[in-house]
Amino acid sequence: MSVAETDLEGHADVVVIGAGMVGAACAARLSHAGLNVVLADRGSVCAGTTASGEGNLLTSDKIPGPELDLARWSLDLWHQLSDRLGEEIEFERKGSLVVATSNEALADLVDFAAAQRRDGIDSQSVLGPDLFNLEPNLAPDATGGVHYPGDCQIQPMATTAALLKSTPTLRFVGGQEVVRIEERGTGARVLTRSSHVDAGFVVNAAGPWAGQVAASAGASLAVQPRHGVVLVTEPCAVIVRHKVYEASYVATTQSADARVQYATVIEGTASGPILIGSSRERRGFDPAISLDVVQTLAARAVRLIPAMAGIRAMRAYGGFRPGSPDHLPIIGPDPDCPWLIHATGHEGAGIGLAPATAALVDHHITAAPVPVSPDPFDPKRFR
Amino acid sequence: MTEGSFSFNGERVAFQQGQSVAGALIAAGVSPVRYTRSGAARHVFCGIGNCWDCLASSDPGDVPVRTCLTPAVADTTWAPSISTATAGSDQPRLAAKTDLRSTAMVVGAGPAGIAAASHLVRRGIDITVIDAGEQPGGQLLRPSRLKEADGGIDGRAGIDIGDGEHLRYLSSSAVWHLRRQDDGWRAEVTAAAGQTAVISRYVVLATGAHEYVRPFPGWHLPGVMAAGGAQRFAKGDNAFWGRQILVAGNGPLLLTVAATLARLGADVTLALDARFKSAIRAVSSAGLRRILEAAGYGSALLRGGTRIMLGATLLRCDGDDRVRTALVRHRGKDHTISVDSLAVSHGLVPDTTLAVSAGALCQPAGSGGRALAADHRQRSSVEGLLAAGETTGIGGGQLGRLEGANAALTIAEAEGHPSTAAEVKRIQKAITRERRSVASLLRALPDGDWLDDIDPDTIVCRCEEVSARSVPKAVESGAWNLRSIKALTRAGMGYCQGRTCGPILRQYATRLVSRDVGWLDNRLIGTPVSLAELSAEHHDLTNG
Repeated sequence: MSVAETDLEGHADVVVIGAGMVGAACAARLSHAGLNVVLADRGSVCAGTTASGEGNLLTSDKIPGPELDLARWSLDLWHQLSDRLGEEIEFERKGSLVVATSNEALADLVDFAAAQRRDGIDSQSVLGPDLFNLEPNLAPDATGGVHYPGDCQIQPMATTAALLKSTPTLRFVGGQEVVRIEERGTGARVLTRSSHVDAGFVVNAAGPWAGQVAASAGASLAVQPRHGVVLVTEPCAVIVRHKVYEASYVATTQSADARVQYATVIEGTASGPILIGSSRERRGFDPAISLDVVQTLAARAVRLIPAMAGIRAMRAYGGFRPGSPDHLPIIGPDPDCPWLIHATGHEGAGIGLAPATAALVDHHITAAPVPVSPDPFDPKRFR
Repeated sequence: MTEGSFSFNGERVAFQQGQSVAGALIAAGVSPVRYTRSGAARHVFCGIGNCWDCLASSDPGDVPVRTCLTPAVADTTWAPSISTATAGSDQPRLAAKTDLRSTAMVVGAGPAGIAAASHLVRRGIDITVIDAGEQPGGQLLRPSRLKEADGGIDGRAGIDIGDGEHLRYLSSSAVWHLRRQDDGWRAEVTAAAGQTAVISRYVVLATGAHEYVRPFPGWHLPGVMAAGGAQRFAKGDNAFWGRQILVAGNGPLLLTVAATLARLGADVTLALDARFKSAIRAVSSAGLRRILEAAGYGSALLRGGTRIMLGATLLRCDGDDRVRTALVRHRGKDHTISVDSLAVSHGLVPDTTLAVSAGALCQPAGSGGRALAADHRQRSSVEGLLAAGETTGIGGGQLGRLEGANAALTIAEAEGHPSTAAEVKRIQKAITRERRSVASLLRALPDGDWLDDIDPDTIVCRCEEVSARSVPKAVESGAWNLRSIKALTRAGMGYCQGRTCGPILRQYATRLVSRDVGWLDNRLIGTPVSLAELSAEHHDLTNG
């Protein structure tokens, strides 16, 4: 990738707007397919949501149907990518343990896992002493759980950088905010305050800001930000071995409630600190991290893993998930501007779904075949 | 006079009354204090609780603590931290959090905080003083163990904050969060004795500064210390490494350190860098008092047989499990000096943790740091929040005292106890005069030329062991601000949360990116606190 702080210029086959994981995946894929691609961002690489998550590649939290099919396919693509990109992306097949803290929640969880199993997602119910063999530090009143061995994790920033580095022909133009996109013939002209580039296609991978990018093209897109906070502890010896999260997590991803929604997620990292989530809050684009949210995350973590009580919290970071009206990603041509391909609305699953999203975008631009139907993600479903 | 002994890594270490664990280790020559994630040996560096390099655990299963801030206690057992805390099977038993209310709170009890507190108390305003130290004085007013009276500006004895009726003094306490609440401010305070919330209408931030040391090859080796830390242990704990000490860098503090160490019997080499000549010029223009101070220190050093190298640059140091030699370039020749220890300083940067998280406007302050912007009455950009001393910009103890008094007058006035016009004018004039004399001294301090020739293997983030080469590599990958550089390299993510590396990285990134790269001092959690303490009042485990 050639890094330019300079302007947009000339002509490209595709301009991808948004240099986070999804944008980088699209740009890399299209570039490898032989297209002339420019990747543009108003900031630097990973200036948005990608730097605010945990790097999860999950199928455990996906509802059977199009979402799960996309996630399963995308995880396969990640396995292939990890072989190609190397160790620096810290790809780890970590596995998840989803924990229920009541009998009712456990029954729902077991049913959910059974439905996912029918769609090819491997999991095992873990009850009684088996639960504590897997995670000895769980609160003694945890009723049971499901173990998903297939869940993985990567380091998102390092992976985005590696993706771009693996694509030497790709042009990255940073520090340039797109202010307008004008239709030109069958394609478009992408304009910043001081420069422009003409393209056959424009890919909108601006995450939570995808609505703004759509508006700059005279289109509309109902992506709304959903704020989340991650609390980070001091480096610890191993306290949890898997990603451990509460069974209520899936419900919070689907919730329409505007108040802060919590579902405890605890995960160790290779470098030692434990990451604690999760919160979901509709607060527009206000990035302030409230102490209240941080305190609640801490309380819930200690509730689930009491042995963490004495571990110190060091810092917290936050970010915006790109929320979609029906909680499914929005991937495909805009109904009004067929040269504008949306690739957004991934909520909290953008990292995991990035390669499949890139493949779907590729399909929309080059008609490359894909193993899942693109229709459930098509933006025209909102009409 | 030996008070007792404790065990460190199986070795018996004797300590004197009032010594910190770190001070006792230095005096006994016990090394290392800890091992990093990569297995490298580390020891005390800053000596005042900012760098978190001196971590050790007093019990297996206990979280590691800063030995420089921990008093030595007889018959305790310590082990080097291996950079990981372990889960305790015992839940920390926390007493309920208490709320303390007062009209004003003063954060920090160095010269500025003490001045603010005493002037407020004198005007009958009830205050809470929250101080990280065991006793008042901050860094500049530490009690001395030296037999001779200390002739310099840092030898003040008999610190008197005032008596108890209007004053509550919380020592060994750290504010980990400060925010607006109702019409005032709420500070979350952590201490070994328990946790507290202090609620008041006004806050005076007087949290001082920390040392700025430019990175150089080998600076992470045990025995290499920031000059302020070396001074603290020498003066306060009678402790220094071995015998041969190189004091290097720039700034008036180096003269103090060298003199203190020489008086204690160390074999001192003082290497003041290339800006020294302009420093001398600045000193001469700064007034009689400074010339006398410089002369006082100078003669103490010469009497002690100290080797003084003017216009010398410390290039690197080397060693194995501790520092053994230093390489200094002087008058065109490179000199290898055998050393047991280095005391290095290149300046100071204000501690802006609470200022930034409270939302106060800050501005760049040299050496890659920034300072809270205060007006002529010490007010910040946020209502009810004032600041005094180094927090508003590096200026030394005397300026801090004046600003502390100034802040007190402002609060007193707002509370219906106005000062006379003459009083206010006197303070303002004194502040202006002091600022002028200090400014000429500070102009002499270097800023950024070390980047011309940086060895790519030099560690730039000590906590996470990030080497210099990672920074341009991150920028090439498209990381154009400190937030992205931090995310890609892990620099700034360690225990010190960017206090040591923040100014370094800001200078480095600015040079590479030539646009505003932002800062690394936005710390929601101002000092690490246990999850139990963090969540103390929260019982809401349900959604909605």
